[in-house]
Amino acid sequence: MREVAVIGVGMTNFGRFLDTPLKELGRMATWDALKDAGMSPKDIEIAYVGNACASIITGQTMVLGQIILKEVGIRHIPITNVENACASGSSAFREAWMAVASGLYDIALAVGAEKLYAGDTSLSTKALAGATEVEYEANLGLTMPGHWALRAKRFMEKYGTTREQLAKVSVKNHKNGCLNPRAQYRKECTVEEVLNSRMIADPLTILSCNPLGDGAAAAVLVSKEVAARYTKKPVWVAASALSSGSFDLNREVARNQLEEIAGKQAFDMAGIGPEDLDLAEVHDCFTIAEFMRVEGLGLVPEGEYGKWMDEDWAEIGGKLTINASGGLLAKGHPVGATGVAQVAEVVWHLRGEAGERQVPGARAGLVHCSGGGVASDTPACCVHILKT
Amino acid sequence: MIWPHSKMKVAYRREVVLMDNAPQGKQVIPVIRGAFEMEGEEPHLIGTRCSKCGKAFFPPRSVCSYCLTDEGIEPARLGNRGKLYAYTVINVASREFNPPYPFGFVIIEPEMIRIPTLLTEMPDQEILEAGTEMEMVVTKLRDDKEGNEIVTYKFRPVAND
Repeated sequence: MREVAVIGVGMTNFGRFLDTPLKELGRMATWDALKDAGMSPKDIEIAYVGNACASIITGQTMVLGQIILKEVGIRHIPITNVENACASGSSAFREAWMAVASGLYDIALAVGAEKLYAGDTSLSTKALAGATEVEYEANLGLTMPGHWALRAKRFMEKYGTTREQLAKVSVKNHKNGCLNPRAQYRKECTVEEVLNSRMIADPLTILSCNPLGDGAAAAVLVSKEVAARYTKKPVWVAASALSSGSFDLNREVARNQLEEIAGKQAFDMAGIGPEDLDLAEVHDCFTIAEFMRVEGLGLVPEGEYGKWMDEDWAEIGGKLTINASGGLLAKGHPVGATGVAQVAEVVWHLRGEAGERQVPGARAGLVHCSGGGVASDTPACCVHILKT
Repeated sequence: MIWPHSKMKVAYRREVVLMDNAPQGKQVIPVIRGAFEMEGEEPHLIGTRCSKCGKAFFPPRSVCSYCLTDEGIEPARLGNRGKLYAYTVINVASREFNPPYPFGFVIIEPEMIRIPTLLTEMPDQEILEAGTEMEMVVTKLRDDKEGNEIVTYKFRPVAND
């Protein structure tokens, strides 16, 4: 297996862009990544494009990847569309990594693009509920916030986590979002504001949930030999892992077994432990999700993230910075784009290019996305570790 | 592959006969075909059970996830009582569900498997504890575009005697 480096990243702003078509968002991110890498569209040998909801929101049920990439003049090469719910972008990145790590290709492109808002939030909610087992869950009225609200209830019962501690995730991430020029929301909030904002599914208020929005991100991955010709600051993919849920009807709902699996695989592959990380972008689709996933991945011991929130240990420059970008809660969560946007974020920190939100001296970062909610379990979990 | 509603003839027709309070000319349609049936007055979910290990599945699975074989799998009428595991009230949803409404997990007995389910007849001012006794009912979910009644299973707290 060969070493693989990320030499170019691009990311649009995240937000609501009713006038910008999905393919243009994808084009913008791809073009920025190519320019960042110093490459031409004709250099790309293989591409993977992650998206989850285009079929419902825009009607584009198929071939979105090929449509986006023709906008930058990419043609004839192998292009595959990738869907793993919220882990679509991460999975596209993983496929691109495998293409180069295997030795089959030297230059791969990963893109994630999503348009979640087309003027009808009811439709967006329905599209997102398509990540449950639709026949038995979404069609009965279960939503993704509802799925997570149930897991929050069980988690709070098991560990004694309070609503205030959960709210602190939102406070932290909104504060970080203020430092991120691409974030959808750049406004701080207090614990009281989070708790008193509109209730979506008890205990998750609107400020506890990721917003609906649009955006795209892209990354260029190359072999070591190619990296040496293009950049002095390659960022190495030290680990890649993808796991699936068990959907066991007796499993403990308050634990994330698939994060435990993917986290362990990633740390073993990278040859480091959580204590060696400087930052992590962890999929905080809801405040409770950051709690469960930070613990599931082994970044924080079981049951202890509440204390981390009380002590501000996950702030920028703290014991381990979690979601310097503002996370999904503040930066936004155009579903297919998120995984690749997290890679862009960590790459910027590892290059020293993260501006006001820079984690000082960052040399190793972890990115994590998990997607879907079925039978109270999560279907897909994708983790990468990036190092200088 | 065994699907309960292909082997068991009762599910769909019996519901239509018993729930005949739909308006004239309209049908009563289960939200999921073959997922539940009435045994007299008692509703039951229809899942599968593996006769080798005794584990049950809802939604029904045709291969036992534990034994990794289909040899012992058979359709099974599941228990219609259980204990509340967790619940929430969903305030924001796709329009046709007419929020707010309660939704939760119930661990049905004797199979001891966790079912995601709508809840109904929940007390207004009281938070129900995990472990509360619940029982299954079949009731209206909503109307479809043609005015047919779509019915579903829900669980409600067992009334104190």
